[in-house]
Amino acid sequence: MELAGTEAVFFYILALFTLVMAIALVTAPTAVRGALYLMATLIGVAGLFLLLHAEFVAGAQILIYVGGVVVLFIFVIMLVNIRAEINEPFRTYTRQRRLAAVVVIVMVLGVWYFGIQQDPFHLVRQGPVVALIPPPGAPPPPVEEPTLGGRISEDTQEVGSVLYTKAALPFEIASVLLLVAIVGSVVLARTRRQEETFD
Amino acid sequence: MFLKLVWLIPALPLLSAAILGIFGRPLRWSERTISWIACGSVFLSLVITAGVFVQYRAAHWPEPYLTSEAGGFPHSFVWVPGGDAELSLGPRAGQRATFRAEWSYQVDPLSMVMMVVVTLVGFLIHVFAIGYMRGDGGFYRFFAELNLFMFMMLTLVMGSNFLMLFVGWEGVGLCSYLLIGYWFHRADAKAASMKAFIVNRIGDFGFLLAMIAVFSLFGTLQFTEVMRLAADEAYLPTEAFGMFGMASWIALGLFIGATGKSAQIPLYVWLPDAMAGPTPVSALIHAATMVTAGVYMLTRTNVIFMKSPTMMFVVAVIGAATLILAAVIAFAQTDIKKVLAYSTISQLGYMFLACGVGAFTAGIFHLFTHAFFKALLFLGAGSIIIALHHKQDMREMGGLKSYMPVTYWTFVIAWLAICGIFPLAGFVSKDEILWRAFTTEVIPGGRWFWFIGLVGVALTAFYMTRLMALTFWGSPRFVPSTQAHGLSDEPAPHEEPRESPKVMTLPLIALAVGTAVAGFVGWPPALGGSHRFERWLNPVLYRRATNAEAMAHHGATEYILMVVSTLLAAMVMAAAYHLYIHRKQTLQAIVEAIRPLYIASARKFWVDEFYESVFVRGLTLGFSRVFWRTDTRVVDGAVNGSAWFTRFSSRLSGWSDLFIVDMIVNAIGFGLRVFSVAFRAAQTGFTQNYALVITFGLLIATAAYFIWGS
Amino acid sequence: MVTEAMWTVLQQVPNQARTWQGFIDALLKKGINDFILLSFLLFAIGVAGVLTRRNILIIFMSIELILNAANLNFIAFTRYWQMSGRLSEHMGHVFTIFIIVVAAAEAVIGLGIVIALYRNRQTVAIDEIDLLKW
Repeated sequence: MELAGTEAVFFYILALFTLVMAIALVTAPTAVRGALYLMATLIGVAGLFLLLHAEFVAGAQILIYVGGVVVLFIFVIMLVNIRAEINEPFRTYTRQRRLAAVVVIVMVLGVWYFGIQQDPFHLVRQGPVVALIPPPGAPPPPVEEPTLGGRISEDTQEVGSVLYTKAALPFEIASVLLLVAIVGSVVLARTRRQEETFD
Repeated sequence: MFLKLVWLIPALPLLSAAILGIFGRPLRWSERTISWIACGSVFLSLVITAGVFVQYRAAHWPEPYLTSEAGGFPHSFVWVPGGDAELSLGPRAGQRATFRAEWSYQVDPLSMVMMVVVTLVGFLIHVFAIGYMRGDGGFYRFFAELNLFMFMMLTLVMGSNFLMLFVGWEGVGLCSYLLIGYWFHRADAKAASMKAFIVNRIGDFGFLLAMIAVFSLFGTLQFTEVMRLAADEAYLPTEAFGMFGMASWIALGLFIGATGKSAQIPLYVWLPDAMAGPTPVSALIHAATMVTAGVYMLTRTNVIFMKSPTMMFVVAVIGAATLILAAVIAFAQTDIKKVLAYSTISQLGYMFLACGVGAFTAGIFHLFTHAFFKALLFLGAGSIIIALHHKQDMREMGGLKSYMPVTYWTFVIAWLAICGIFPLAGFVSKDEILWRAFTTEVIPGGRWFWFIGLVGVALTAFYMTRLMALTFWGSPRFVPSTQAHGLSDEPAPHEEPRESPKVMTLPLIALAVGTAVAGFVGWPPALGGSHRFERWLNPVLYRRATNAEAMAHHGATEYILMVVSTLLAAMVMAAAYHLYIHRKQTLQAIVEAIRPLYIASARKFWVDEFYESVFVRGLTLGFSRVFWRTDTRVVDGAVNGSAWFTRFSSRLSGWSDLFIVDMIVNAIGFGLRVFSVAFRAAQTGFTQNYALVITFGLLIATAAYFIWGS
Repeated sequence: MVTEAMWTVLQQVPNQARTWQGFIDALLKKGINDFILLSFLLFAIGVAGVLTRRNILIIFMSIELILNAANLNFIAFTRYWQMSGRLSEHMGHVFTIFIIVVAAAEAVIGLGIVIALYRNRQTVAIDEIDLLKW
């Protein structure tokens, strides 16, 4: 896999955008702004999906996450009164923030050291160019047609065929999961009086 | 040219249904606009069907014309591009086949007949419905649903594969549900629509299983492919009578589907209740078209059925039993539409009997003629009901002959036709069925089936004459409206019933003409005809009757049988007329003499009650009783026994507890208290602390993997 | 520290890229390792958010961030294996779709809990909800 030229530039732009928005999310002073930053982050990731030729997942990401989950977040923010966060701006972080920061920094540095210097998976040394060489015995990589001519991606069709053949059972289980989630949320969000009335 | 427009035949009613359903209410269209759109679309379909018929007959017969050969949207398109599936039955078991269903139409002799029936009768009933539904609040909704039904029915008969047939099958079921429950504020209509839907589902289940089996066996759902493969003796062997093999199982599933849709024993109970819908609906869906879908399906899959004499026998037995049972129930019904509903079930029994004895053409021919005269009967009943301000009880009718001449005379034609009087449509088709039953070689016992059919003729003649006598003849028994409307808040109705408007009588006349001449389409060779209908349908049949064979059959026997059945019908009609008009006392005496039978007939042999008690209540209650028994005997016994054992062992353990266990427990407790000091400190109750610990652990584990893992 | 990082970057590039032009070229070629690094950084940011924020809603959002990092990894690896011819199907995409589904269900339930919690305790600060201790 290799992104070259314009695609690499886009990668830089999107990666930078996503990281900045993610940092803005975890440092957001209020939850509403956090939700908006989350939305920006998710759109950035969707853009990265597009770079990776995963058009369907990118679409699903925007529809479900941005259109569904983030809106749900905003609704809940609306329902719970979080004026406390505005009134107490200095209590944004918990009391274990320093310890947590140390752990996270150690984690990042550790991965930086082990993952890149030591390179246990031989990903970096092989490098982007070397990784293109297929392993012995593997079929040759598919030749990509030029996409600028408006060729319609078959990504959705292929995802669908995998989803309905190999992943049919998980697919059904996921539908049950969603049903359970619906019922669970209804049960959880009942008021006291509703509970007393119906139980 | 018309063959290129085949796709428009179902598409036009669908378009009209969509337009009416979406815009009918918000734009407040007048009834005139709505009727023009609804009937216009069906009329265009009718015109195209006629053109297709002419062209198909000239250029393509006897080969089927498949729109998939022409290709391309909107003519046809791949509807379900499926993946590979492994066949599990038959000689090709284990091989892989690609599941692929296309949306394409098949025009062949069989679907051509059905298309003509559906569009022609459908159009006439649409026109009639303009008059019948006048002033109803849901005018637009009624016609939208009726048009949707036309689309679904045409999809059913024109589809080129099982899946499209199934879509149409379910679609007409849905429209039937919608239209039975059209007056949804009436409790009986609501209950009837749900009953129809649920009973149909039982049948659909069988159909679905059969369809799955068909795919597992043949690897395709395309009719032409399946029938070609099924005709192959090596692929689907013909079974001996009494055997129940592959073909029989598939045929059984299909037949269960057909009994549901076509109201045969044991699933016929929904059809009489379905009369709660408006009368045009009863005429179109529950007499002329939808309920005949089962016969259509049997004929469509006749190859599979012909391979299984066992199932053919079952079909014939069910058909014969249904035709007798329904006719007997029709004897004592007082609701005019209920009588006609049981009559429909009975006539459908004739069609199934024809299919069962291997005379699929005769079944389809009876379907064809029955569509005309039964639609005519229902529309006539609708005309009467409108004239009497929605009274359906025949005990409050009588003497309508002089008030409604057009309705009366068209009704007379239909009455003669259904009783099988020469030379009307019903005579030709019914005699064809009886003759084919008499001479059948497909299943044993043909003469018995002929005899049952003959009894059915007599019963039909009797209850139809009773219907005529109670509604049209004799003296009027309806309450003069001037006295009756005192309590109701309706506007004062006219004092006496009067003839319906032209928009309702013209379809009656058209159908009466159809009833009179439809028989000549398949005029039997014994009377100088040429079996035109049978030759037309021959290409879709598995075991074809050659012309010479068909001609050779007729002889003195056939004339005798014809004369017997016609004379029998005429005699019964005369007797019934006499009884109901001149000898009321004799009639009363007879009814008194056979009172138990009469009550049984009037109460429909308690089949509904039987289903209610056995399947609805019985199974549920029975199971609960079984579980209760298990509970009291087995579970309670075990519980009591274990209680005794517990008391015994508790005494034992009481001792050991005090001296052994307590000591150990105290020791452990003391140890824990000493140890827990450190752990208690870790238990902060602060969620993120735990998360931090998890992260830390993750860090350690990852580091360990990096250092030692690789 | 900075020079060391620069050296690391330089070490990554193949030999022919040691010239300035080659360095630019190498910068403009992005492979699987860049995606892994990006997704790891997203993950680390998410973990930091979960560990440090008081607002339970922001914590939820951070969890979504972590899930998205996993998604990105799945998609990148699918693409990687496909381009090197070792995988022909979009398996990773399917995993991603399921993760999205599960994340949606999780958000629904979690937010339901938040609402119930807020109704009972009048707070969304997570360190004020500490009844679960000895």
